[in-house]
Formats: sequence, C-alpha cells, structure tokens
Amino acid sequence: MARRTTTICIQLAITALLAVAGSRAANAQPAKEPPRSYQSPMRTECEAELAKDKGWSAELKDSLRPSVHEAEASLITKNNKHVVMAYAAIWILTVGFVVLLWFRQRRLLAELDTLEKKVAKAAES
Amino acid sequence: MSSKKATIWFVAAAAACALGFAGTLYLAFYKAELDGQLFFNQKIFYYHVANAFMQFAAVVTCGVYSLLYLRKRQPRHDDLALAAGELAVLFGAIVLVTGSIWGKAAWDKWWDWDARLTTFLLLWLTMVGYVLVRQYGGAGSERMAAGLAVFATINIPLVYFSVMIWRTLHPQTSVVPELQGGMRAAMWSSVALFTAFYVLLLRLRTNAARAERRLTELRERALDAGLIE
Repeated sequence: MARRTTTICIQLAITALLAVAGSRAANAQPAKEPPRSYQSPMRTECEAELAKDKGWSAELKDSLRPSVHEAEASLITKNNKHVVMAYAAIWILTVGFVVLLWFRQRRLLAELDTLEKKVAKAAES
Repeated sequence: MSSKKATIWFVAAAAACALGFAGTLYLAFYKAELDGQLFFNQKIFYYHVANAFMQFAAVVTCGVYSLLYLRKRQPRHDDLALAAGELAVLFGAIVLVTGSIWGKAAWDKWWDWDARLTTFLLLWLTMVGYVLVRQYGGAGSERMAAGLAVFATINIPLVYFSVMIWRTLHPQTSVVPELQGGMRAAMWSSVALFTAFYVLLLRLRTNAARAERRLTELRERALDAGLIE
C-alpha cells in the first residue's frame, strides 16, 4: 500500500514538473533580432549637396528651430482675423437693417404729414 | 398701448438688448473655454447659431401668419408675416456671411455645395423671393407671397435634418446640446439675447407695416372723397 502511494506521488510530481516546464516554454518570447543599422546610400550625396548649397542648409536648420513651430502654432491658436470679420459683418447687417427701418419710419411720418396738410387745405377750401 | 407707454417699452427693450449684447460678448470671449480644434475662430459659433435659430423662428412666424392670412384674410396677420419675412432675410444673411467666414477658417474655403449650406441657401432665397414679391408684386401679391412663406416653412425640417440625412462638412445638430461649462452659458445666453432682439425688431417692423397700410387706406379714402388729387 505504502509503495503504491509513493509511486502515485512520484508520478504526480513528475506531471507537475512537466506542466510547469511546458508552460514556461510556451510563454518564452522568441529572441529579438538586434536592430540593423541602416544608412541611406543618398546620405553622403545629400550632405555634399547641403555643403555646397548654403542657403538650403540654412533653411533646413531654420525650420528645425522650435521658435518657427511656436510661431506657426501661434498663428493658428491666436488667429482672430476671421472672428473680427464675422462680428463686423453681424454688426454691419444689423445696424444697416435698423437704420433702414428708421429711414422708412421717417418717410412714413413725412407722408402722413403731407396727407394731413392736403386734407386740411381741401377742408378749408 | 399708448404712445408714451410704447416709447417706454421700446427704450427699455432696446437698453436690455444693448446690455445683453455686451454680456454675451463678455461670456463668449472671456468666459467660454478655448476650443481645442478651431481655437479662437470658434467664437463665431455663438452668434452664428443664435442667428440661425432666429432665422428659423422668423420663417415659422411668417409661414404661420401667412397661413392665417390665407384662411381669415385679416390684414394684421399679413403685417406680422411681412415683418417676420424681412427679419428672416436679415438673420439668414447674417448666418450665410458668418458661416462663410467660419468655413474659410475651418475648411479653408468660403463655400461648399454641402447639403446643409445648400438647403439653407435655398430657404434664404425663398424668403428673399417672398420679400421681393411683397415689394414689387403689386395688388394681390400678398396672397402669392403667403403661399411662398408656407412653402419655406415646410422646408425648415429638411434644412435642420440635412446633416443627418446626407454626409456633410457642416457639424451635426448634437454639437449645441453637448456643450459644457462656459461654452454652454455663452451659447444659450446668445440665443436668449437674439430671441429678445428678434421680438423687438418684429414689433417695430410690424408697427411700421401697419402704419404703412393705414396710410395707404387713408390716402385712398381721401382720393375717393375728393379731398386730394
């Protein structure tokens, strides 16, 4: 009986060891390949061209300056040209309508005045 | 309402609107948060949308009173419809101009034949047609114009839901209800201000239309009586 129990325990221990070893093997990541260093075949040519063209070289260096990007960002974030145009249009149209209304009212009062005078004159005669 | 009361009412309403304009501009420019995509240009939105709401309100007023006029033939309904029709043209022009400027800022083009823009332009042109018919149509033109106003009113749901029916550049109708914080306050205070401004202008223009009609009737009676030539 004791021998049988020992055999079962040994079998269980072997199964557990195999299971652990199997799961570790399954989880293991494939070894990463070392990054290949790439160098463009055009690089030497470009460097040579940049060395010859000082203006181009300066432009490239200038475009990498943070202040250039800050200026561009500021142009977008602080652009108020369109807002000024839109609000000016709103005021011009609204005030224009009110002024037209006022002129129409004045014309109406003038017509009423003329009609009153004509009627009074006709009544007198 | 007596003349004195009417003047007091007008001055008080005009003063409230002036204060309202100052208040909404303060809310839009100092209290509303800066938009993450359009930045400062988004400030156009507050008056643009409020004016669009008022354009719809003016078209509906014009359509409803035109329908009443067609049924009951009451001149007071026609006066109100005429006043609302002119205001629909005014608010529509503001929406088109500010929308075009917004389009330049957001999409880098002044105009696009997008479904919302095109349907709105058609609605505005219908209202321009209404005003032109009233102005130059001669006798009986008010009935023809009233039909045009009813047609424009029916067109409003198409304009409003165009952004859901078709794929458009124009933002969806969900933008306004989803606004939060300072943006929400600026938006709804602008809508309240333009509603008050619309009511004020509507009243002024209706009074003028009523006075014009009375003057015409008076002149005709004086002519008939032989008092004037």
